[in-house]
Amino acid sequence: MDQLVLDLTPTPLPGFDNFLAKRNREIISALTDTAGERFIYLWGEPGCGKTHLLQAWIAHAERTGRASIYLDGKAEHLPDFAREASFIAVDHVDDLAPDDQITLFSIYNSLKESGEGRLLMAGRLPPMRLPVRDDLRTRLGWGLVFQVKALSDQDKLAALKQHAAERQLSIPDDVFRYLLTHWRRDLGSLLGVLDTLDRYSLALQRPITVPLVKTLLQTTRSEP
Amino acid sequence: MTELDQIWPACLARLEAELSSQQFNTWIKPLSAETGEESLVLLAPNRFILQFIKDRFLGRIEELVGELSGLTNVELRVGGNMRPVAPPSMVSNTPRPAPAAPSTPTVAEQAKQAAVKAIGSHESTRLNPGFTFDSLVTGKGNQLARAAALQIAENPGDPAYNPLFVYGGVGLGKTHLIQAIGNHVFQKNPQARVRYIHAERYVADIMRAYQHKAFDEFKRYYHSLDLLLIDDIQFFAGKNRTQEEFFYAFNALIEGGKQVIMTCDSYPKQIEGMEERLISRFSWGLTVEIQPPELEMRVAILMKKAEVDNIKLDNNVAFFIAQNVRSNVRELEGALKRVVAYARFTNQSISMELVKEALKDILAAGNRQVTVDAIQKTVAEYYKIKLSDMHSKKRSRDIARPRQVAMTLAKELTQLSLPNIGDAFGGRDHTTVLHACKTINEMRTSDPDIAHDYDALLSMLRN
Repeated sequence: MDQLVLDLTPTPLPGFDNFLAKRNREIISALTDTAGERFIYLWGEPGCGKTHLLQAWIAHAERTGRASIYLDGKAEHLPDFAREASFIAVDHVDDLAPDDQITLFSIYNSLKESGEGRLLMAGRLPPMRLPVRDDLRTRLGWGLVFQVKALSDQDKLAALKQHAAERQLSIPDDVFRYLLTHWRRDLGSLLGVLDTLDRYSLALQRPITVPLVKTLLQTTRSEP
Repeated sequence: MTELDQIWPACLARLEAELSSQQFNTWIKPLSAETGEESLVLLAPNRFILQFIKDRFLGRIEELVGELSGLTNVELRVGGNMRPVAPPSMVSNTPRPAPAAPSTPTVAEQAKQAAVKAIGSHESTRLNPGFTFDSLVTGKGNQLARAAALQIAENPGDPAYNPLFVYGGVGLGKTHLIQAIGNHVFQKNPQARVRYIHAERYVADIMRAYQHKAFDEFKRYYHSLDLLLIDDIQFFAGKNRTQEEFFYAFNALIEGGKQVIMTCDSYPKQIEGMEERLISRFSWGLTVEIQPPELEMRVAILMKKAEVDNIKLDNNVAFFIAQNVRSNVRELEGALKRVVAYARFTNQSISMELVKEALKDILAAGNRQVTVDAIQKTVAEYYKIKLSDMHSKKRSRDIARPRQVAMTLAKELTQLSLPNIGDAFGGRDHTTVLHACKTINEMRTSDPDIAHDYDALLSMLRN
């Protein structure tokens, strides 16, 4: 019988400080600049950290007492009341349904007209190649546009270590390196497998080692 | 005299063949003709069209008239009965607000008051004070529209320009232009009831007013304006209730000599899902187009923007940005913002090197190479012909035309030389390519189908 695992994992909130920013420092500076551009669009390949940045930005806004909202274009319809917030983050802009594109367009216009509030959006493609309605596409390119650069293997290694440390896991280095060469290489998947490993090792009551990782990857091979 | 009656229709037919449909519809079609003893009298619906005809087309019209009839004199006047003075539908349908209705508020629920507030708090114009004629950069693409806008700003409500219908692609400055009119009118007369609204908001406000039974207030408010600026009217498409309501508001305002100004992403007749009676009313006054800015204008826009924001920008740097960001004014401004942010972040002044570094990702994304193969494949699929027909010797129209379209796209989207393009299309001569480009580019201005196909293919290939 499997050991049951209590869900007690401490999950830290995404923040700017746990975003590996070496190559993306300029973005953080723009996101935290209170006098800067109010409309920012981030693009980059999946797993480069866009969602993390959006959520960190929202958490930052909440800490400073602003009404803020995070919306995921892939998961839900954009609610019209979102325009009442003063910090609005819209993730996965490429996946917005036609009606939601109009809602975002309208939110953009209200914020622009009112001269207040901020809008942070993210998608996989640069504005001019986004498959959304023209009037929205050009507006995305109107503000500040940044490409979120993918992490190098060194960066990913550091991120994995930091992630493990925050969860108080002790994992030998060769496990990280093994993951980097044998698993999907985007950070989201890598961090995900680390959490799975954590639960797996607890359930089996075995420490996290390369052989354990191998067993896990074999049993979940079909998954990714 | 029957022969004389035929002069203008014959002349029209010739002009229609010579000019682009755009030019013909905007300038020539609104004219009506009367034949005098020795001359043909052309009536233009307003001074603006008259002036434009005089500058651009009168010479050619005189030639044609001479050729067709022997008449030597063509006279231009303002007049004609382009506008139905009071269409019957308007008289019977226009609901008038009760003149002496007591204005004391009834015991309305809070929701209603909120809805009324959404309408009635429009004491403010909702104009952006930064959008003025001074800050509007003028170039070939918008000089006509600007000239018309200035006239209206000086004389709002002049029937010759009422309504003003401004159309053009996204991000070209339509909103700036119409708000400049609003700001000018408001500055001259702060008592004027001016209101700018985006069509999408207008639709939402109507729905809200309905839900909260605040509809009379909504109506009263919109019918009482002196100047209504409504942006992106294409958002009314398919919204029947909104269209009906707008129809009444429009009639009330125009009848009362109040100015109505609209923008749209297309020519009135091309808006899909819009009632015929509205479309025809949109063309009552003046319809002007805004076209994408050419290089000099893009440079000027950047210099102006830099000046407003107090940024030191060298001409050659502005030139570089303008050369690389061509699509529309928004992306141009976005690129400048990126440069400025990068300069601030790295604490450097704006130099050519810095600009290249800051725009690296934007430039790389925009310069994604399109290959001739991709163009041929896309075009063949689009027209449902065989890919091999791109290289074949067949010259039937249904194959040759798509092939010409593909060659023109290859010239526009790749850096290949014309002989190279010819080679890629089954070893054709470069003059064949040249001829194809010329033909297609001419057809794009005269044949809406080709224009549409070409634009659709262009955006497919760019994405």
